[in-house]
Amino acid sequence: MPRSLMSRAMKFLGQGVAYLALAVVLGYFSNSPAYIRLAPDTAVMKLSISHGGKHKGECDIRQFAGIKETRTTRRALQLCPRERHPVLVEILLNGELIFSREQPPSGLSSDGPSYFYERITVPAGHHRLDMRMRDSGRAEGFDYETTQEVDLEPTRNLAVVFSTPSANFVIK
Amino acid sequence: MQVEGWFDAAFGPKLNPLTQLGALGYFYFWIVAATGIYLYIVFETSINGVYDSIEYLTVEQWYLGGIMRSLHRYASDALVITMMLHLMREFVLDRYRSVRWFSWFSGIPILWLAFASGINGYWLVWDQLAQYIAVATFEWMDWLPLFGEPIANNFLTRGSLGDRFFSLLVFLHIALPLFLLFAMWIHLLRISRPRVNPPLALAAGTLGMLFLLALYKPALSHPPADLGMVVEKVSLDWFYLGFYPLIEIWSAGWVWLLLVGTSTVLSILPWAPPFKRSSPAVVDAANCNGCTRCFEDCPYGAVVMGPRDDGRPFPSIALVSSDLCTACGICVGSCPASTPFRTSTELVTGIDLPQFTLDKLRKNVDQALARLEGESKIVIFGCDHGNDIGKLASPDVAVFSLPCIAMLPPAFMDYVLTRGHADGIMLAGCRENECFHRLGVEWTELRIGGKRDPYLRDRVPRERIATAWLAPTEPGELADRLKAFRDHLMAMKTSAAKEGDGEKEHPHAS
Repeated sequence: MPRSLMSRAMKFLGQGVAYLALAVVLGYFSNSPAYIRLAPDTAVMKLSISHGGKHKGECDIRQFAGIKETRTTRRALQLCPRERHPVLVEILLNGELIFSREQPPSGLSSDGPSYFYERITVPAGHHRLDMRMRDSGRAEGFDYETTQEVDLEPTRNLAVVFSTPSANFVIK
Repeated sequence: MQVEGWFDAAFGPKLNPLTQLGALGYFYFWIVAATGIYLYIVFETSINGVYDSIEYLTVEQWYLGGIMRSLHRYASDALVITMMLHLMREFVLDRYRSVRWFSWFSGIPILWLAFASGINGYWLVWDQLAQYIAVATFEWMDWLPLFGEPIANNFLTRGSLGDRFFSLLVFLHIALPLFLLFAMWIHLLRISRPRVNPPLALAAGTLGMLFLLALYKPALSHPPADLGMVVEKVSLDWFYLGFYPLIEIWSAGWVWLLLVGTSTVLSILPWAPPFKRSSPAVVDAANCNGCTRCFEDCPYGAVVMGPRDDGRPFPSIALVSSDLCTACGICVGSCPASTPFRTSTELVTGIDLPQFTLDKLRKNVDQALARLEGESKIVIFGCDHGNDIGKLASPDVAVFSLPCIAMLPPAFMDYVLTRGHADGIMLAGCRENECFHRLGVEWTELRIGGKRDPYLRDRVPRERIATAWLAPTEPGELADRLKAFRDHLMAMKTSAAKEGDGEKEHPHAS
């Protein structure tokens, strides 16, 4: 084989190897290796709560006579302090505490809701869930408590929320 | 450099993919854009219809929609590889400091926009991978103190999402690539003659490779998303989504620190020591006739033509923007006044480098030529960014290193050869298409070949000029080329001597 032809063939071979290498890298790493996020026989509980604690002070109920003296834009029947208590949430799985956090109120004046968002991995199976919340600033005990039995199949995504209108934890 | 040498051997200097990374990046972007338009036409932007519409494309219409989808994915992945190699190459070759800061700095938002576009694209399929990415992204975003209520709540339960969410995603998947294209345009603003299209053969080769890959391993979806279940295992596209596992393994905060920290470090690199900045080129109004050659040749757009007010009968004068000038000297090589034949005591040209004037070069060349001795006297003009030519100096070889090989005016080659000072000239610059100053080797070749002004005059014997466009890692090859050139000059001399003897022996032979 003439030398120039040989050199040309080697060039094409080199190009082919380069394209093949790029194709292998692209083809493999575009979806491999797989990422395993969850151990077998586990499920996930997602705690998502947006709840405002009680106000820290008592509201001042104003008398009608007093209201008349204030400007029309400020004639509220009661004046409440803005600041709220932090909210404490605890979750127990079969009696074992698996989540406990006290979340301060949001907002520059600490007058907004306290937000919770937590992903908790739990074993699949039948469980008793105790969910409780304290939002009044009391030192002991809880203002809301809910207990529920759940059956969690593997990879189940269980949402735990707090319904302010019904003042209760809800599992979805 | 060694790797580039291998690619040079396989593809040749003009098609070497490593020297075409920017152009390849544009090419992949256009493939993604073109295939994306087709996918958009058949894509259904509703939560219940989106998955099925993509499955239809992938399975039923594999011969068109499936290939389009696979090309869309693989070209996007190739874009990431290209971007990363481009970034690493410019860093390794020290092409990010001084006036080149702008291109480097403007490249950082391109990285963010490219990744945001790609990640956003994976959401659109609304399969389990999309579910994982969407939830993880929103949980990651929630770490920032920007949102009141956690935005990850949008994915809490089945039925949390509506069709409007997909309209938003599609809007983002059009807007982000448009911003990306805009950033890619800004990236090139301070570069004259940027390469935005790869050579046809390279484009065809890479497109063919992507096409075959799309046929052999088509892009497929995961099972459809279900917010009531957690995604247990995902086949990640590691080019775009490689950092997602870190959000769960480390924490959202650490991943933010990693990405923002890396971006910040990359952004300030051009100003990190060692500080290297040469004085910019200076125009001498008395010797500038506004011919525009320096304006045409400057690789950085640092020379502009402006109106002149010195009363000379020319409409314009070259003006140098010191913020853009890298002091490569290519403008000096392009100036028609840069001729060493001028008899003035001090050689003043139209545009010159203050730290390395043409007058200084002529004096150095004159002194060196006077000292040269031997059968074949050779002058080597090299480049500061190429091989170290100092090692090649010998009694019959004089060496001069320039900021860029194209700083050498063609008249200088004429001067060295036609005055009989030397038997040959060797030009040793950067490897073809890999010139540190981008266009130096190309302009030099064109000037010697009589295709770009200022031309090397016809009277200059081309066989006495050798070029060696080599990487700094190839000193051995340069020495071999010099030896071969010396042998070539000796052979010419011997042949000329024989012809001379022949004429003496047969004075009337015709």
